[in-house]
Amino acid sequence: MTDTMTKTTLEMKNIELSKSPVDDLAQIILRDAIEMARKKINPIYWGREITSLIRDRIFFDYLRHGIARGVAEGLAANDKAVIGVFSYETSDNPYNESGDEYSPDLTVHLLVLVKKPTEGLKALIASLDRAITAQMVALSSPKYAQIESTLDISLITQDEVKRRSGLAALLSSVHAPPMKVWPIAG
Amino acid sequence: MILTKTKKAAPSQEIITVKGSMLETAMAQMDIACDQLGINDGTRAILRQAERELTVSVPVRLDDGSIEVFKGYRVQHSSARGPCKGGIRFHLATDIDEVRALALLMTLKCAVVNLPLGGAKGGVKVDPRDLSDGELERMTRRYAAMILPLLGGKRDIPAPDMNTGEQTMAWLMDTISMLTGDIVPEVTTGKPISLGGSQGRAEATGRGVAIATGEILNRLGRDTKDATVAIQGFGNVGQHAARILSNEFGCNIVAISDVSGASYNAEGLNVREAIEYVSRHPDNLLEGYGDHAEVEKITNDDLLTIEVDVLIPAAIEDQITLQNAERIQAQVIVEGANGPTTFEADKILTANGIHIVPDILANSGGVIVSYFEWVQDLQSFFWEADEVNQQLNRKMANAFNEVWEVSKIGEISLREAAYRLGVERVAHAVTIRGIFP
Repeated sequence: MTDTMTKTTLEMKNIELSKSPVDDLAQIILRDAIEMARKKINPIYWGREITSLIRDRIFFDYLRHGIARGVAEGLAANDKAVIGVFSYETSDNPYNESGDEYSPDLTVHLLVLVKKPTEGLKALIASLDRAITAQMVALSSPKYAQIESTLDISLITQDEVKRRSGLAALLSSVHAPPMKVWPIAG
Repeated sequence: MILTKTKKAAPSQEIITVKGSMLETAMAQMDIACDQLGINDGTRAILRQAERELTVSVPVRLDDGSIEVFKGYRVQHSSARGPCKGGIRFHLATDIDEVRALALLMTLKCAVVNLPLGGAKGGVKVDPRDLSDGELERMTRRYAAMILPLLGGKRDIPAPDMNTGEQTMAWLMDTISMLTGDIVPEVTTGKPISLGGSQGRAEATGRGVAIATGEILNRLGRDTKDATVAIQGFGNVGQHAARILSNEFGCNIVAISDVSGASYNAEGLNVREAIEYVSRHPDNLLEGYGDHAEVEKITNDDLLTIEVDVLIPAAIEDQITLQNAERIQAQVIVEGANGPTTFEADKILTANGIHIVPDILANSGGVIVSYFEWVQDLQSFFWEADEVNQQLNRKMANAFNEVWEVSKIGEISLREAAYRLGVERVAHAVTIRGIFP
């Protein structure tokens, strides 16, 4: 690990000390996401402060992906009802042939496919959202100073997928299929 | 309690998906059109098959020195009417069947709006966010090199699709230019303006939706001024459509929505204020918008079923279904999104006398401006935004009117008419060109 990568850890230590297991998990998710995003961008930018990096589209996309994957792994590890987790974008008409627009949508949109929705899982999601949002606000970026939520998570069932009911229908989408973030092949 | 993260998969859980109601709809519509047009079995067989399919291996050296090999595809469904045109996507769910289906839809879409282009699609089975920026560039360039035999400004012109964008197209164009020795901006569209991209591209689909809305209201004898409009989805397409309908057509936008909820004001919303609000919101959402007396917060489902003249679904697929079709009160639906209406819901809406401007026509503004970009690149002569918008207006209005006439003459829905017109044009080209040799 380079000095620059170590700096990420130092930055994270400045975040308010954890208070609960969910806070711990949120801190791990965000730390891993930031480190992953740093590794993905051009090395010449590694030395930049996180507040500067977050304004970069490429870093930002990787960060969101890292959070999505971390949350998916966290939910799957702590609730055996989770079968699969998919991320999706709410942007309209990705098929418009006009190229993508930079959407600084911080919210991570996930579909969590479960055997059966449980109150425990819903409570974990709500707690995790609060904890991750607090960590994001603590990054001291003006971009995140006012956010109230980071996760937009919908629980869906196999039956809903088969019936193409509500957001579960997205799993059958041809034009804009969600991306599987857990489990990952291999 | 100890909370952890895991990368392990759940044991042997099969994830069942049902692929593509939208695709089934398209295939069904094509079959209906073939039947109605009396297209012979030989031509029908040609329409059902892709002309060319190329599957390639895309080896990439990763940053850690290891090598990973991705699977890539390019399918040309038809070049009967001109060079093939279609996007390239990077997605884990990409496979040959999906690419094949989307290539067919591109053939029909280009034909409906009478572009001198055929249909194609391509993709790489990858989650691009798993690759670093450098790895992604190397993968894109290798993929471009592998499908190079199919590409060219007079053969096959890719464009952005899911998880690809301006940068991807710039890499593609540069790779092909390096390999051929010619500078060939016309080999892709969706490029940055500085590399031969077109003005007006960002708002093209939204503008097209607005033009289609104006055309159908005119045809129904309705003045666009003060026509009430509800828009589901307030992203790129929804915002531009709302702005143009409000500013240039005088429509009254009474409801807008995104994932955070919907806002409604029977007297009309201030679109400029809403767009400014969204641009300032940390998540680019309407969340919290209109927290004052005259704006009512309603649900997304409410938005679809309120009493308005025009409903524009501009979000995601399968929003108008058996569950809500009977409750829809709009006189007109203009499909800004792809496949927002299920096959079953379409039947109900049509039976209830609701006019639907189908996605294949309504959201074709993007591919039309893509065509304009190609034309400008071929000529090395670039238009001002006003000219792009004028040409788009002309092209969309002509396409709408042709579909409308087919609908009236055949006493069929606009969706059936659009497919009939598209299939007829491709079939005619196939027939008149004949079979080589």
